[in-house]
Amino acid sequence: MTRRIRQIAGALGLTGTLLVLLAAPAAASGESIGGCAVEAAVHAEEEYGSLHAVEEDKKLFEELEKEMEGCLEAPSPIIPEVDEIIWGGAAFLVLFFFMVWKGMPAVQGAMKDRADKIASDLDAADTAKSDAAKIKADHEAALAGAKSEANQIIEDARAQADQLKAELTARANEEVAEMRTRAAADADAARSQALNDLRGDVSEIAIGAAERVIGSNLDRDAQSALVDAYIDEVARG
Amino acid sequence: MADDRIGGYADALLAVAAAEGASDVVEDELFRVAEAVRSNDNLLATLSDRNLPVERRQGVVEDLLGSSAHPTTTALVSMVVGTGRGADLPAIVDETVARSAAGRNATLARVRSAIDLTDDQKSRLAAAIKSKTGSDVEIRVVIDESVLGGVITEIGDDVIDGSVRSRMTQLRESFS
Amino acid sequence: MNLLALEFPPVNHLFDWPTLWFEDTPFALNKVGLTYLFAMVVTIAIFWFAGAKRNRMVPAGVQHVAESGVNFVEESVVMQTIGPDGKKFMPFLTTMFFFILFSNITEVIPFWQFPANSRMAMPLTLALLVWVLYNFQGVKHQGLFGYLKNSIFPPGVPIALYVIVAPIEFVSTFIVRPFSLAIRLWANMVAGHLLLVTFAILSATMWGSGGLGYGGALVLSFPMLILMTGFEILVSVLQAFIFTILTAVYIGGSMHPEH
Repeated sequence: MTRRIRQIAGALGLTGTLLVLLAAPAAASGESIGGCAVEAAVHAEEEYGSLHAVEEDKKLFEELEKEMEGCLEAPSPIIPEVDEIIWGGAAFLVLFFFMVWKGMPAVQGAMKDRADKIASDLDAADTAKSDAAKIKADHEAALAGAKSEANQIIEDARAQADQLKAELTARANEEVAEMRTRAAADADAARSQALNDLRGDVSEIAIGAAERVIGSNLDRDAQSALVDAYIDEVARG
Repeated sequence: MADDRIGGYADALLAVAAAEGASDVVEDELFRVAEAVRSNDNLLATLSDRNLPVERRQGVVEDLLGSSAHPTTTALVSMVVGTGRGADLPAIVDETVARSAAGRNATLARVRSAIDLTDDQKSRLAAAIKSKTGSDVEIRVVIDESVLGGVITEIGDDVIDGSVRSRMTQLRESFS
Repeated sequence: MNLLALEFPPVNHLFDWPTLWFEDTPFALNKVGLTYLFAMVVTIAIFWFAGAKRNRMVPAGVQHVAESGVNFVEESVVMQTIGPDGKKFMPFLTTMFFFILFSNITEVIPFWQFPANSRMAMPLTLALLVWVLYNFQGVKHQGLFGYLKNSIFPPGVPIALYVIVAPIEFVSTFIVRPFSLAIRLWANMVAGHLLLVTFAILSATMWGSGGLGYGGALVLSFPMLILMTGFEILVSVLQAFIFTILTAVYIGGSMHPEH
């Protein structure tokens, strides 16, 4: 809102100013013919006492008439005035030499510097961009490397675990087999022991039984025969 | 010491038996008694138990031998048991028999058998042993059921074993 | 001259200024001469301060004005007409552009309100200078005979027609060209000044007559005065541009007759 108000106030102020200023050419555009004539008349009056005196003297009147005609005359609008050419030409030459000496080199130098700076800034930006891209690529490569390394480590760990598992399994199998063979051997030993024990028991039982059978079954004749046989044996030596 | 005492008792027993005039019978009966005592631990313990009164020990001897044995035999055994030497009775009797045989220039051969041997068998055995060892032997048979069959002859420290029992023992050892 | 109670001065007097200093010498200085000095001083000032503030990333103020002008002359004038080898004329053409521009623009500067180029002095001087310059360039680049031949007998025209074409070309290139250049600028400025003076006097008179005159001034003449002022700013720039680019065209034509 304040901006709008300021704009309106500015426009109004500018309009007022222009109203006054643009009216100036009316006054500035040289003398009016009437003013010139009056001025000539006043001039003549001051010089010769009174206008009547001028009117009476033919020569003076002609002079006044000529002066008043001069108010109607003006320089040709199309033929250039020498003094204006001199001042304008001098101004143009001075300006031209200044521009050659200082103005153009300075401004064009500044423009060239800026263009160069922009170009170098763009180059720097390009370099920075490519550097950033390179750094990014490096990072990605490092990341990929780390990832593959991690995979390698995991792979190694898995392989080691597999190997360890295989070794443990093999050892466990060996132990189981060993225990089985040992158990089998123990069982064999126990069985043969038991067999021996059994044989011992069986033979004991059999021999015991044989002893009792022999004891009760050997009759007197048999006993006597045994004694006789013994005697013969002793006798034979 | 012990041998002196055993030898003393053996000489005493020989002397008494000779004096009574029944040496053979008495000797034979003493041998049987000694074998019976040797094979019967209860009897040996009873007879050698000094805590029992002498009359009680001698009473056992009377009960065992009184009716069947020669009076001299009974008296001799009763004497040995009465003096408290019951435990040494088998050794004393062995010594007695051995000295008696030695007196007749012979060696005692203890023959263990399940049955008693006939005289013929005894004489043939004595002859066989003599041909082998070169000395006369007096056969004294010990009836031992545990021999089962056959004969075991002990001459001093030599043993000639032809018993069924030893065969059985060999058989048992071969099995185990 | 009191038509409708409107006192309008003779046209000649609108362009007649009393001498201020050095009267009755060739160095008589009037408002026209002052205007040229003003254009010179302003241009020098702009380029001086613009050059003093070098290496500003974003040009502003006088630096922006100077660089815009130089860039305009280079891109829109030299490169469009002569080409890269016309850059050696950059100082001359830039000087000419700013000099004419600032001696035109005084037309709308309050209390000054006079375009120096509505006087024939500098338009004609500069036009003759241009005439000398492009003829010199033509002789320099094509030789005297080649330059005259190419100028008077333009290639690609049937030989029979040269009877007609050659006089026309000769007159237009060597005689009419500088005057048309000078008169175009001069006449535009005269017309602009008359326009502004007319509406200014009309406004002042109507306002001064009171009554209906207030309304007439406010509704008719004064808006027209403002409108014409804006229009004359445009004309000032446009004439400076036209004078400069025609100069470049003439130089380019002399350097590269094939165009």
